[in-house]
Formats: sequence, C-alpha cells, structure tokens
Amino acid sequence: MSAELEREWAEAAATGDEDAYAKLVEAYQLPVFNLAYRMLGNANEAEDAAQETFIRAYNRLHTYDPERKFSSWILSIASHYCVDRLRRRRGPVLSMEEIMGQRWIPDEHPKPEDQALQHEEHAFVRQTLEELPAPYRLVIVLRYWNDLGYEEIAEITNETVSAVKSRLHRAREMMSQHLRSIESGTSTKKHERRVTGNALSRCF
Amino acid sequence: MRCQDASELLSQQMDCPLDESEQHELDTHLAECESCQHEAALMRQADTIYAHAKFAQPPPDFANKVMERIRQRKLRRSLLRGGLMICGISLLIVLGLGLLTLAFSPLLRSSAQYPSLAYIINVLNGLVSIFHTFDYAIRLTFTATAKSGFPFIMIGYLFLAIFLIVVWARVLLVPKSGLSQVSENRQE
Repeated sequence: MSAELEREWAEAAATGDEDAYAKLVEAYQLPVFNLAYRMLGNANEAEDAAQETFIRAYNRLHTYDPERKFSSWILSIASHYCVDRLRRRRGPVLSMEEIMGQRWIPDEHPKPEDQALQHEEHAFVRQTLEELPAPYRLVIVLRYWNDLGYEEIAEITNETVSAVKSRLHRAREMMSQHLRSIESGTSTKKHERRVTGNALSRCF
Repeated sequence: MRCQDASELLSQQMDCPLDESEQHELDTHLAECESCQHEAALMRQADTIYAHAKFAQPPPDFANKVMERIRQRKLRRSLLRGGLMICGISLLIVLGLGLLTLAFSPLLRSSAQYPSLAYIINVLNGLVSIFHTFDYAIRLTFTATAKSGFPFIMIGYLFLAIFLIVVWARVLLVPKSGLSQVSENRQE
C-alpha cells in the first residue's frame, strides 16, 4: 500500500472519519491478527487482542507521526499489548477442552499432497513458539511473518539492535534444540515426536 | 573461532548476508567442526519451516467488529460527559434559584404600586417557589449532614446524585442511539 494513501487515511481518521479508519483496519488486520495469534496461541484471544489493538490505536491517532510507517506503529501497539497480556496471565490459562475446541486457523487451500506436511510444519511452529519466552517469540514473529530487519524490529519492540540480534540467535538455538530432542527421541510427547518426526524425514 | 561465535554468525546469516571475512571464518569453522555442522543443519531446517509459515487469517467480519466497538466506546464516553454536564447545569439552577428567592421578597414589596410589574414578579415568584421546595429539601439534607460532623456524607450525596443522573441519561439515551447504529450497519 502506498505510504501517501496511508498517511491520508490516518489523518482523516484522526479528525474523526470512521470510514478512513475502517480502511486502515482492513489493510492491517492480517499482520496484526497474525501477530496476536502467534503471540497468544489461541484464535479467540487473538481476535480480542487484535480488536483492542485497533481501538487503542484509534484513541491514540493524534500521537501518530505521519513520517513513520503506519505498519510499524500499529505493530508496536500490538506487540506491547500482547506482551502485557502474556505477563498478566497467571499459570496455565488453557484447559484441555479449550485446546481441543480451539478454532484451527486454516491455510489457504493447500494441495492434498502438501496438506500432511503443512500440518506437521504447522505443529512444529506452534510448539516452538509456545516454548519461547514472550520477548523471543515476538522478535521471531516480526522477523518471519512481517519480514522485518533488525532496525525495524528494534524500533517496534523498544530494544537495541544488538538485543534483537541476540534474541533471534537465542530463539533459533532453542528451535534447533527442539529439533534435536525430536531427533534423539527424548521428547516426552508421543504425538509431538510422531508429527514433527515425519516433518523431519520429508524435509531432508 | 569458538562454536558460540559460529552459531551467532549462522543466525545472522539467515537475516542478512555476512560480509566476506565473516563468511570465510564461518565456512572454515564449519568445515572442521562436526557439531557445528549439525547445529547449522538444524537451524537452517527450522528457518525454512518458519519462512514458509502462513499468516493466520482473521475472521471475515473483523473490521466491522472493530468499528462497532469503537462506536460503542465513543457513545459511552459522550454519555458520561453528558451526564456530568447535566449535573453541573442542575447544580447551577438550584443555586441560582436559591439566590433569586432571597432577592425577590424585598423587590415584591417595593413594586406593589406598579400592578403589571407586580404581576410578572408574582408569576416568577410562583415558579421560584416550586423550586424553593426542592431547594429547601436539599438545604435540609445539607445542614443535617453538615451538623452530624461528617462532610463525607455530603460528598457521598453528591456522588449519588451524579450517579443517578448518569443512569437516567443512559436509560433514556442508549436504546435510541443503539437502534440507529444497527440500522446504519445494515445499510453498509
């Protein structure tokens, strides 16, 4: 989307034009919802968090600097909100029923032969994200889904570039550790071993 | 090069190309360190899986829901503001009428020689006396609470009054504007 159009919408929305803001919501719902979903790991909570993000952004539109990318601004609000929300969580939040009844987010019509592989990769992504502490999870999400560089991630998360770099490194170490534990069969979860083990054999 | 440094460079390599000397150092280390080769294979595998991960899709009516919630919050805020305004205005009216009641009695006596003027003042005074009853009730409450040595009770009464007015404003205004919003959405 052009930066100019974006600025125009943001300025119109700041003066109370709801239609202009609706366009911004349409344009950024995908990255914001995805960030919330990857951070919180649950579609219902993610929807609520993404809505809250856009409401907060609307109330703070007067503080938005048009020189800055709108995407960075909105992702920064979403990131802080999700990290806060994770911090406020006490103990295990999800009951077994909740996990079973969770809305599964479908990928866009995968080919049948790819479906099984995608399902396994999906499980790997879910499990590794779940294992990562929130700040590490956040940089991974911004890096892989939003395809951002160190500087932009640093700006969004209010960290230094070197902190971002080392968090990405640590997160990747944890991921390779996860793969190694599957490989050597030390994983305690039978299901996890089966699913990701298959993914492994197909990847090589 | 230590294995830890190699691991850091490996991670960095996935984000942006390394400069020539770093790349060379990494390659030399990987060529001779078996455990780092294994680590590199695992890291790259995780990187590939992540790089192919899809976006989670929001529900189709997401934007509408956001705008609906924004409108609701706006309405709630304006109602609260309206409630406070009504409180302020009614307080001003009560105080003003109280002062007028005090001022009118001597005025009435001296204007007895001009019947038309006396008539207007009488009508006004009649109106004032209606409010005077309220005024009296309020004053009674205030003196009673003030004498009981608890000014907090007075503040409590004030809050109660504000609360009642807000509730009243809500009951009166919400259903109407709520309906108009729903019809707006249908048109969309």
